[in-house]
Amino acid sequence: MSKMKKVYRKVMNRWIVFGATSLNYEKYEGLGYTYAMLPFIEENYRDDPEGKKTAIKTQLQFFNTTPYTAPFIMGIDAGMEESGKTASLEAVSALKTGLMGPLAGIGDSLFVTIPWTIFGAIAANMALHGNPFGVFMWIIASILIRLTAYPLFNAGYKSGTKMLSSINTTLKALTNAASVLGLMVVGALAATMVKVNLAFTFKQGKLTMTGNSILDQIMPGLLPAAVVAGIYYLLGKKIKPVYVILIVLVVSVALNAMHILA
Amino acid sequence: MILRNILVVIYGFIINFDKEGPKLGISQPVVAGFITGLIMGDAETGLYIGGTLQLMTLGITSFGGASVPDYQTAALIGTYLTLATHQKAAIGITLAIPIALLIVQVDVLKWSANIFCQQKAEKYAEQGNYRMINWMQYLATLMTSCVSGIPVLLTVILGPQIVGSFINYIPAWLSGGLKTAAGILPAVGIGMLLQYLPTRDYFSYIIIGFVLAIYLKMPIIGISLIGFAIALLLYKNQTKGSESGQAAVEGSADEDE
Repeated sequence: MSKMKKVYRKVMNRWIVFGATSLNYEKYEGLGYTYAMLPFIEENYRDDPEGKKTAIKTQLQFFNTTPYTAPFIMGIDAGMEESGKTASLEAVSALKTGLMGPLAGIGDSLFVTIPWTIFGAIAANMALHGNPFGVFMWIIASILIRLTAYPLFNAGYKSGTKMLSSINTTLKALTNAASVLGLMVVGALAATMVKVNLAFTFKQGKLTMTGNSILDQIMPGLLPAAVVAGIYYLLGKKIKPVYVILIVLVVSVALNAMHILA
Repeated sequence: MILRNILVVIYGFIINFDKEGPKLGISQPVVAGFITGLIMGDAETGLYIGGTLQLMTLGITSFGGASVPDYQTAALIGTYLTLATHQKAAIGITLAIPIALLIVQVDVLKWSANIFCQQKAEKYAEQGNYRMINWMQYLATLMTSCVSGIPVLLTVILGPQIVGSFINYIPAWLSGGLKTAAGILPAVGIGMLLQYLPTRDYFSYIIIGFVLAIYLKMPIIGISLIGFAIALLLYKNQTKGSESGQAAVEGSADEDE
């Protein structure tokens, strides 16, 4: 990695800091991609002003993928343009369009949803106990995940399209494995983070039992699990999350007013 | 108080930039709650508001450019208003929900406004004025920052007075219900994650996590480590399978030669 050329490092720094900040409805990450690649384009077409213009116009086209996996595409792109110059631009265009979809699918789960689940859950869990350690852990994890841009760029640059199938299987296996970790954390979250408290207490003679302690004797975590299952069912019926949140708000207020839930 | 307000506004402008750009994690709801809490002098309440919003929205991420409710900025504003008006955390959490829905409208504006930068950049490319492409990117970045920055600025200027006087009219039955809701809302994020993750294929692992947490009272880090161990085994098995498969294919090819 130390051998990474200065201009590539610059391209990656630009992508990491400003990657998708120019998202727009017309070309999505088109401008951001071009902005990141500009130092490379300036160098690659130094003696060819017409080629430079064609290259920039090619890069300004529609582009949309997970910012985390884009460096792999940019690496392949740089490798192709470096050897093929303007003759490669048509192939570069096709490659960008062809790769952004599949890489977004994997990138979104592997780099976004799953780490957010795991580290978000840990951070939130600790936060509710007043402990900021999980927050720091998440920031460190985010930075590490972001730094994968450099090796991914190198992998794309060195292997071109050859490595595509092997990187695809690796990423898929990683996604599956990470999903398992995510699901275990989700199971733990359902058990501990969802708080449903019954308001009624049961009194008979000297015996007083709260609604929750009765339920806990049947099965601890029964109510939270039931609530999660119910919400999972609603979401499966394609009800928008916002409406589900509103339903929770209304039902909570209603049941609280009826002294069923505390 | 003025210094605190200024810091909150600066942080507001950073949130959306971080979300689209560096992604260092400082734009997550729980982090936003914590940092805003720190600035306002009550990190614990900030952690509570941010943490609840985080759990509520674990499954909400923007894919393929879809605009989703902005719970990150909402966590900042909810925490700020709660601490500036000395309210209960449940109020901040509830305030954050409509705020998140409002800010997503601003986000749609940004997506549209940035078309201007894109088209300008194309024009500059045509003219050979490549330097200006950089400036179009920076201008678009500024607009992106404003998506979270302007609402936070408005909140700091107008919020505490308006919201403060409004909150006093919230009846007890409503605030009690909101507290109940704050306990249940994390279930929405969990439900969304279950929709997204391969729940049907790996349902057993949910039960394992559930049992470890509730019967063995294991802290979440311990559960993550066990999950990590299982994930590691699974990953090794899956990649080994494909490698030996490839080797077999190569082997047979050799034989043919």
